[in-house]
Amino acid sequence: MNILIIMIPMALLLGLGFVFSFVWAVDQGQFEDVETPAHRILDSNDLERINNERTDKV
Amino acid sequence: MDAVLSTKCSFCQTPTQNIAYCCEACEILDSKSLKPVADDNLSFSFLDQPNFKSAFKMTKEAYDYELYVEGLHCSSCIHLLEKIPDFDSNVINARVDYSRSLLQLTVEKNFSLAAVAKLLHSWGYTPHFLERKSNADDFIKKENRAHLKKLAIAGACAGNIMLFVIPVYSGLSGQWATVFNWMSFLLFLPVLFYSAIPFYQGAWTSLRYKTISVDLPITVALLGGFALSTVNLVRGNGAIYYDSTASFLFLIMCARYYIKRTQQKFLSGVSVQDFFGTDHYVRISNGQNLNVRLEEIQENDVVALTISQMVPVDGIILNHSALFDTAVLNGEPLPRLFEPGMKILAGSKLLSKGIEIKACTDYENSYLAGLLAELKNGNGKKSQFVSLTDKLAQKLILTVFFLAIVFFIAYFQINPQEAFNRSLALIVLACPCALAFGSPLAFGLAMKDALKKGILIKNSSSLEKLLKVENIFFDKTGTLTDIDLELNSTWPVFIDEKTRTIILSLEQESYHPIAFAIRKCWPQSKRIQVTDRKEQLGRGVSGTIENNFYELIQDTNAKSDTGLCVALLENGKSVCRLFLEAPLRQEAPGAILNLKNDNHSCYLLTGDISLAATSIGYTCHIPSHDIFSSLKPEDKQDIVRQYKNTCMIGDGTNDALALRAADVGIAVKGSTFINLQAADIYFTRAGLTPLVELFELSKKTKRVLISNLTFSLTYNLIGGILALTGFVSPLLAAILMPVSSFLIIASTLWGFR
Repeated sequence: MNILIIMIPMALLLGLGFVFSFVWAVDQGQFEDVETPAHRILDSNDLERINNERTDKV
Repeated sequence: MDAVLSTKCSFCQTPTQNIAYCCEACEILDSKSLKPVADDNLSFSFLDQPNFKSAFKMTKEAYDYELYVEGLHCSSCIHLLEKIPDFDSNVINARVDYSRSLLQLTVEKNFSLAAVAKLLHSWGYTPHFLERKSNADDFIKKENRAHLKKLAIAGACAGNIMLFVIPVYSGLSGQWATVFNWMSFLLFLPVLFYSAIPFYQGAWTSLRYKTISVDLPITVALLGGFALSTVNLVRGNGAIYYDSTASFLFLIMCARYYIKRTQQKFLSGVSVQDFFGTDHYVRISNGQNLNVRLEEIQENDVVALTISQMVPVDGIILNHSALFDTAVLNGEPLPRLFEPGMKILAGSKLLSKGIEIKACTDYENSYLAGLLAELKNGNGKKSQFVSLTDKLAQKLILTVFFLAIVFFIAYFQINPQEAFNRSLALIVLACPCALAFGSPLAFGLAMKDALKKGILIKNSSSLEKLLKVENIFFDKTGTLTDIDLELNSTWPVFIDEKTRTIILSLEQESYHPIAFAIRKCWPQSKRIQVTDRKEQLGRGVSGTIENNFYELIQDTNAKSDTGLCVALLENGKSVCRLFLEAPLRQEAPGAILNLKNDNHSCYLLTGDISLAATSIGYTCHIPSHDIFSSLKPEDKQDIVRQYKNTCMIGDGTNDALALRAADVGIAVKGSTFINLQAADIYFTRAGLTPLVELFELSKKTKRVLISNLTFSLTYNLIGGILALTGFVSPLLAAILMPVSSFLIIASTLWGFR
């Protein structure tokens, strides 16, 4: 059972680490807008091609 | 308006109305070609003046400028807007906040607001630059973050406590059991001293104002549970409730965060759309024209207004007579003629050619600003509403405390220790679970459901009030009828092509609602040359076409019951007559019949004359004694006040006072800004169908609430009996409390499936 003396603080530290990273994320404002990122990932980058065409013309 | 959305955008699959793409963004992204920037007369150059630039510059934020982008509606919009830096090298970064239709820009020094505005305009959006954020927004942001942090810490602590109590429940005893129990104690401290702060504040407020809110039993259960567990922990004997208390608190906080975010969606949507937007005005001083912002207009300034511009401040008309649309102020659908020297109120819209006015006030002191201020901090403020949850909590907590005290006194003679233990166990166990988070969750889900149907609900208590509504008041123009005039019939029935062209040509440059109605009805594009075209304000238009003198004038003799009549005269002889009226919404009679079948009384409140109102009332199944006509805004308010359990539905600013006075105020789509401020509920879909859906939703919510309450009260009763008879062990409490919570959540979700 003596291993618990190390295990428990480590488990708590690990938990604490996640709590702090969450708090950090909240302070960064990552939970303010939860809708836009879902759309952002769908971007097909087609516009780069458009831009290339545009600069070609110029 | 509410047409069947049968086709889908061929790029982003958003439902759209019979065109290939839902917006320019999709077309640009799909066809991979840039449309030439439309070079129209809209000038945004005023935006680059220092007074505008500095007013819109953000100081506290990570970005420099923020815009409300009207028309932002699909993923393609986000993708295109975030690529602005590719089009304008002065923009460093562009971020979209989709749910609030905001665009945030980080820019270089020599950035031009006008260039971006022009770019957005060419893509089919209407940009509105927003001024520096008010403190209210910052406050909401801070509060949300604080809530989320408290919630996270409560969750983490509750989870870890559970891990530590499992071995104890499984039979661990001795030294390690004590260590584990003390670990739970330590983990409970952050919950007690940090996460639960809002509950203490709520409980304190309710004590100070001598009302009982649901925060009070929660606080009592929390503190009681902590005290009992700690006493037992120190004694080394007895029940410990850290695990159940912490997880219970965590669940309540989750439900509250959810409902808060749903409510904020409503508020941000309304507050962002500033009434005057980024309008600019031309001030004439020493013969020079100067672009100024609304706030810069001072008393005695001379302001030049152009056609279709909103009057910024109350002012006196200087140079010549003009037509104004005053619908914002009094709901009157037809324009009115104002002569020089007359006073025009802020918020009216100029419909004829440009005029100059002399400001009598600045914006802050205008009639409109006054009305807004009154609505905000309101004389017409509603009576304090005690929600069903709070009422029941009040009764429950009194009963529980009474029982606990009686039991403690009675049992004290037999066993003082056990008497204390059992009465505290009762208070902890009987904490109204369903009341604490079952109801907020039900309301949150109902609001989300409503949001999907295009119904925005400002406050969850409106849903509760809606359950009690008996008397429903309707505004006529814009609510039961469409807001725009429509060509109803003609005399003779058929009007030939040439006459149509003559009428259209005469009305060509007119901003009068009649002109819009005619253009909408006859979409042909052919026009002929009109010489000497004159708009006789308040009367009609005249002009010479091919040596014939034509007049299109309002015919007051042939005025129909519900609308108005326009006659075309050729050299003084009548050629034809057009009858126009604001058509009744198709779904209106059905919706009212539906509400009446549910034992609601429906009334019609209108500023129009009684003849028009009776005819509408007849079609809508509203008997004439329930129709009130020729009302001023204050009259509407007084009538609503005479009834109990009222609901008012309207769109114009003339309804704002009544909306405020009613228990539930509903603003339909197309409502004025002031109305949105006054209303509790706002429809983003046109028409009255949302109203029927709203009442159905409130019935559904009621069912869920009742089943939740029945369940939790039964549960509390059994738990209370068990606690008093001494059958409740910590293990049983640890199992029963989360199980009841999950049952409540499950039954709520099932109710809204």
